[in-house]
Amino acid sequence: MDTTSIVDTFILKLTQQKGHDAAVDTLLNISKFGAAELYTSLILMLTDEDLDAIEKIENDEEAEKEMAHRFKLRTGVSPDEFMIQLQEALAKGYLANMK
Amino acid sequence: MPEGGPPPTPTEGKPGALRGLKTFEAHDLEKLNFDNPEGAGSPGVTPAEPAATPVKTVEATVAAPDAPDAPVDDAPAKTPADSELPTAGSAGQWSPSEDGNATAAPAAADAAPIAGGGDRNGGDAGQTQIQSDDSPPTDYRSDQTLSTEPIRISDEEVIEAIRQWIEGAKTGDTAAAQKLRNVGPELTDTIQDRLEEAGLPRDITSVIPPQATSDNNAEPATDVQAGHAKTDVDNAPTIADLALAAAGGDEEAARAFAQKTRGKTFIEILSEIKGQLNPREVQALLQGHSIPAPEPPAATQAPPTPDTVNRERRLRTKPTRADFLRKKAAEIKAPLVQKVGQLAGLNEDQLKKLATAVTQFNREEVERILGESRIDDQQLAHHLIDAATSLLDFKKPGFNLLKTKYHLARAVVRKVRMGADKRFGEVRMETGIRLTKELSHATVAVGAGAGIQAISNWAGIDSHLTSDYLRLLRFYGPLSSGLTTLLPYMEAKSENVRKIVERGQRFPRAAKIAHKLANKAAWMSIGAGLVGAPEHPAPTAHLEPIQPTDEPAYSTQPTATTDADQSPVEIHRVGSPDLTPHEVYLPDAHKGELAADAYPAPQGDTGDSTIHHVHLPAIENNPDQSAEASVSATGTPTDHPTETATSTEHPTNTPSATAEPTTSPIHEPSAPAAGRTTGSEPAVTVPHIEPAHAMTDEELHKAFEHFKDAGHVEAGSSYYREGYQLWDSIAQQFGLSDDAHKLLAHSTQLVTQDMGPLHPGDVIDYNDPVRMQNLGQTLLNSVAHDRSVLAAGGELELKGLTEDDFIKLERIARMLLEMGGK
Repeated sequence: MDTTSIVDTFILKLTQQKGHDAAVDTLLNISKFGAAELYTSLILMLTDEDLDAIEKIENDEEAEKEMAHRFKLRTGVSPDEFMIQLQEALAKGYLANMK
Repeated sequence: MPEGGPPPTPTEGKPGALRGLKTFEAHDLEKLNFDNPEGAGSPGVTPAEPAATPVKTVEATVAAPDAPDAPVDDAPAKTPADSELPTAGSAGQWSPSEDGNATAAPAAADAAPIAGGGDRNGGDAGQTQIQSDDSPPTDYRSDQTLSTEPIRISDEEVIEAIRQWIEGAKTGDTAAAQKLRNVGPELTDTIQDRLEEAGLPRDITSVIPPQATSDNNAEPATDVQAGHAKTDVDNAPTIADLALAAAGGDEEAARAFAQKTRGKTFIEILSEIKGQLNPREVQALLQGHSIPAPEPPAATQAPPTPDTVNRERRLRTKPTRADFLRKKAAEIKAPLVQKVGQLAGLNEDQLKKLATAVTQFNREEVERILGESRIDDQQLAHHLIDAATSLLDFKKPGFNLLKTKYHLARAVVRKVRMGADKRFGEVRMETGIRLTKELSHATVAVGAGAGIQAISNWAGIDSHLTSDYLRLLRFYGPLSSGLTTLLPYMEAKSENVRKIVERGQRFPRAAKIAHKLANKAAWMSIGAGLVGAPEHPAPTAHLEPIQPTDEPAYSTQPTATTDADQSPVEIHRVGSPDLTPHEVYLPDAHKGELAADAYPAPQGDTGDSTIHHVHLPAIENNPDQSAEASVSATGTPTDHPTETATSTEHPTNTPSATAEPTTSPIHEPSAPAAGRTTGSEPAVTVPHIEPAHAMTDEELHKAFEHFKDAGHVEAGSSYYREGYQLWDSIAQQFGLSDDAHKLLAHSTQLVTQDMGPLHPGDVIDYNDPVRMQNLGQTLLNSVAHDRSVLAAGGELELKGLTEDDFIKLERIARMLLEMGGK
């Protein structure tokens, strides 16, 4: 089962179990939770040197790219991969608990 | 939050990145709601067990101490330095503070900033909401409103107190003389009649001998009219004077009060007032009473008479508001203590000791007992980190501290306004509004509704109790010790939390970028899926920026699975350019089933990252395609009816460039007017100068030189107006936005507030290099502070402030510093 399927299944089950609105709320909260997790990881995993370098990049987009790049170097995953893995972990946990 | 541990090496990859998630179980999804009080909890944290029976046990051990006669006395007077508002770089600080600020206030439901934001100049914004706030505060979660019941002090007691003060003043007691001076203008006719009947003068200030006031550097009152702050140059009105006068409707005093109290917490203000009034007077002031209660005789005074003893006994035996509050505090603290004890693995005996120590505000003892816990530090640290994390809104580090200050300041205003209402029988709403605004601007108001729920969940107590507790915190700093004592401990163990905050301060821009990146990634991977975004884009695809450079609103678009003709959902972030998926919406042209009603805004603070609206992209240029759009871009299974239904509205061809942001986060600078003067009585006339963004440094220098020359402004009845006029002119000339202008004016006030009210003939010397330096530095600090708050994901009262504003203000600040010789 690939990640997308797991997540989709998770969303489907969630919706069936809780109803659409509650499922949406939950997913939105997962989104926020994910953002919190990623933010925390970005700030903690990047070194002072990394952050300082990013600090000096004036263009936001370039700064974002640089941060993502450095995060990948430090952790082995990009921010997006981090989020997808997070999704997967959450979905798996939820589905496993349903069984 | 991660649980710490060594960072993974680059080759460790996924495990390192997902550390801390292993404990995340399905049931925790129920607790994920950061913002919704109904579901808030500690993400990834095992939900706190309700403190059921054990709570009762401990509760019994945490009996409220005997209420002292003067509860306010219990509040250890804090110097302003103890709890100053955060200055530059302090945003995000979650520092322990004994005055309760650290615990702060994931505060109550009224945590939301004043609607409309108000303005630092006492403008009109936000009036409506404030006006409705005239009633006793009922906006806490508790159904129990703050009691506004006045202290019941009989006229006889008042007369007796005044008699003692008069006697004291005649014998040289400066404190008594000061009381007479403070109270004299406030006496009602009835009281004055009673004074006459008692053989005392109606004007009690008339009996103050000169020598009784000399120590206080305060001449007998020269009030033009009762209730007004004294205007003698040599007798600068005290905060208490100003508060009383402001409460009486004196707007000038109100402004002065606001100036003097700007940036100060309730406790600080209280401490200052306490230096001028006795505790019961302060209490009376807070209660809206104009007549202070008698002060217990000091040791140096004459031995108490039987009457005095009887009166004190009556006061002691009568249940007071303080008694109630203390009892309530003990009730509330018990479960908190119990919970901490459980977390720390304490036995029953230790729990009792802990409860006692907390009740006695004995921080050292609490730490000692916690040190005896059976579990090791690491376990405890994890528990406490979890707890602390649940209190820490990730995007608003430091919100506790700031929020509390906001509320404390607001509480003062509220009480002062109530006093005005009661004593003069009319609503001085404008005064209250002005004061509220002024003080509210002293802090950064951020949402905190989730904080209460987080604490409640963590402690396993009812959120109403938490609200009560936090309410107590506002009024009685020491009573917050139950939590205050523990939170620093948590913080000490929460290295990661502290590191995040600290790094956010050191690298504000990087923090902002991280915040943006995190929100974008989170939204694009999960949130976008809710509204029919394309299939999960390739990991690197989310980072493709799409927004046109000239589009001020945040706009992003996943491009991984699309081609030029197939645009996925486009998300427009309107407002602050940071990326919280908050107020995400698209133009009206395509409000489909995914409009706001499909995604109702969760309950909670408006300042939280809540997705309020999710609309479909604008397709004005391709209207025909909207009806044809039927692709479930998320790849959502077709047996997922709801999701599918919402997804079918998704257009397949959405030129992002057609989406018009409805608002611009950047205020257009007001057009400068040639020879513009401000105010009805212009004090400064300035020539037309091009806005700052078009000016060279040399031109800026010239502009400032002009203002420097114009700085000798003869003040009229209020120097503030002149000050505003001058700085308003500067703001105009430099093309500042409204909010930047307000920040500038605010910074100016901070510097000039020590001047006190000026008088006709006084001169504001803007040639004073020290003042210029102070102005520049203060402005620089203000900019740095607000910028760091934004970078940390917080919200500013001046919501319109942008980086563009900051840059302009920084230039002005540096010019000021330069002119000051720096």
